[in-house]
Amino acid sequence: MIEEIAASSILISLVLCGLYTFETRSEKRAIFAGSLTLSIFSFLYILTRNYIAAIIQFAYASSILAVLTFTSFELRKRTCDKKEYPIAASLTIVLLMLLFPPFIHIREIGKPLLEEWFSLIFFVVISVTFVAGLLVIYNILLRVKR
Amino acid sequence: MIYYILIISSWLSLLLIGIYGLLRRMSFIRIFIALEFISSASLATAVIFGISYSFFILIGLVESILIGIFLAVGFYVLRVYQVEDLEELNELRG
Repeated sequence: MIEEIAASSILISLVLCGLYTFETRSEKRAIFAGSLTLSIFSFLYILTRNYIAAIIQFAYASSILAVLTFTSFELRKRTCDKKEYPIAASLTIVLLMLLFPPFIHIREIGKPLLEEWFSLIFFVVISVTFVAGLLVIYNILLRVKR
Repeated sequence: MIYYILIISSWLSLLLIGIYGLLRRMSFIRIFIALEFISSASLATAVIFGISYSFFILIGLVESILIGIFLAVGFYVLRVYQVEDLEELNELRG
């Protein structure tokens, strides 16, 4: 009974928040409502006992909020012509998505991540992306300082 | 039974709202949000069908990269044309 009430409240809030995202005129509200919808969706995973998926989904929603705020802010600054921003925006998504899952994965299975070949490739991709992202962000910060 | 219907309805509603958002507005940010809704719904499909977490992460990674590329390209186009949104771009073209 409790599970059914929870599922129905998730469904209602999901529909309301989702529709509000595309009906409101304010961009800030749309960004916030969109992220909130995705956060509410993560509760669906908790109900189905996919706790790891719930955390990943929640991290995903948070990263989207950060990236959209950043993009929205940058689009309104017409005088800025830094070409690195699009790269930084796309890398930020990847970075924020990647920072959470591997550590959760280790805790879940209780063995080192590198034991599986897939995890090894995944680990290399994370490291390269992480270093590249840091370099780009560092480069942008240096330019902003000047 | 009702519980599973509610779960599947939530997943379907996110997918449908995402499609509605794609059709509804010609705003760059809103199209991005709509794409995120659709990708989240597709990830949920993968979880419902019981894939491993490795593949879950892989799907999430691929989707993030694709949406990141979309964001970067769109951002670049708007910057080149010196416009704030797709509606302004349409006006320029018209």
